[in-house]
Amino acid sequence: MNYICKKVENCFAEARTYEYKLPITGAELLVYLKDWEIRENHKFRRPVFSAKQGALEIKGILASNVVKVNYTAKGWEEEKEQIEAWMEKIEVEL
Amino acid sequence: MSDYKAYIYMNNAATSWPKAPGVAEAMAESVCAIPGEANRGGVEDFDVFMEVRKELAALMGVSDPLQIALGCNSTWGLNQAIFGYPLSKGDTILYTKAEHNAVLRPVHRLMQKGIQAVALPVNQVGRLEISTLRKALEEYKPKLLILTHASNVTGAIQDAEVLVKEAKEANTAVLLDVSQTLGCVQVKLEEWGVDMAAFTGHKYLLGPQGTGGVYVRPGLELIPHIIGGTGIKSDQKEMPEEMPLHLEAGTGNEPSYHGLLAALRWSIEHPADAEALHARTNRLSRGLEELGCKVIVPEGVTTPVVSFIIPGISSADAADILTGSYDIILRTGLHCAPDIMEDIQMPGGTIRLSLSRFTTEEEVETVLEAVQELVESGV
Repeated sequence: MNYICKKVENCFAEARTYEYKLPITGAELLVYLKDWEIRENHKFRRPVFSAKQGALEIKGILASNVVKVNYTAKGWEEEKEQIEAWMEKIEVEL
Repeated sequence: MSDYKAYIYMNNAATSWPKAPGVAEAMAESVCAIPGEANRGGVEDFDVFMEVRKELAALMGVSDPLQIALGCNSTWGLNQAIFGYPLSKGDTILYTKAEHNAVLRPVHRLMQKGIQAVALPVNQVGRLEISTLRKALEEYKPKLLILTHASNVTGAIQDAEVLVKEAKEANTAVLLDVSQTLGCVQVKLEEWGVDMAAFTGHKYLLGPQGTGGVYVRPGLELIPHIIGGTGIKSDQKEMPEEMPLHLEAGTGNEPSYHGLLAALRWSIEHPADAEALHARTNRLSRGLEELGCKVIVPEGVTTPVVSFIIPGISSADAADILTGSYDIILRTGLHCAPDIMEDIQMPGGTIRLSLSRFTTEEEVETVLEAVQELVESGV
């Protein structure tokens, strides 16, 4: 699938959080994250999810097509390349 | 983000929203109108910059509006003051750990140029204690004290009158940063003896971004930091000596100053209900405490700012949920004031909610309900 990616800055120079605008929602993305540690919280006004694999985390609003990815400090660039390559391989029907 | 009314805006310490009624219209009208005369206008010319200066002078307790130079924000004003104040290598200046990066970064640059800069610690709510200042004045005999009137992190307002008096008695000039207070609490620059003050239009003055500047007391000549055209006296090599032109190079932001003028005049006609705003701020602080949050609650006079953390939940996660799930616009992190975090014992930063006169009781309650759901979920 195609995506639009933008770095999300915060107060710290070492920020490594990126937002991805996807053609699918967070809930639909979870289908492709079966081997990740998934947490959903439906108590909030707009339910949220987080998916973790080690220190790597993808999170967002289940109904939204924007997700955040927090890359870990060590080897984060390689990690980012892998995640993006994985996203590009996902075939979605639009 | 098109349905703005769905949002609860609590980031007014950064940029106020909504703006005062009439601001947008004044700006739009200015953009459509023939531009001003760049300091060359005759008796019938409407000089928006001068009109703004007059309103600001009244608001800041300043007799001569011409001592107010207008630029694009407080950072502009602070840079003009910090780099323009006559200092020599080996001189010492004082600043507090509650300062914004708009002070800290220029001060860092001064240090690289051989100026000794001493950071004064603040107490647990972000206030400079008079004893701390007194000791530093005696020890360092500084040329300049840079002091924020209120912490943008905790909302604690400094007792500027007392602190400035102490500094002036030690022959130390004072630069007061009133970015967080102008339009929120009374400011009396002349009465307090302030030498320079930086202000902005886009916070509690309810004006647009791109407005702000610096007041310089009569008799104090700053070295212009930004040099260029002034529309007049173009045959001179140096900037005009008279204020405010001395510090005002380049074309001014006329549309935004029309907006600021509209905001200032609206605020005069519609004074804020300070008591009600304080009550809402207080309700938010107490409510967060009752939910188990660690809240900074300064005693005494404050701006409508509430900083807190939720034990066990990262501020970034909390903010993501409060904004993403509940449409609450807030700010997390260091708030461009990194040095204060150690003194207020929030080393990782805070979640900051900052209200305005337009914040409603219902919005405060909605925020508390959202935080309660967050706390209960444990995320």
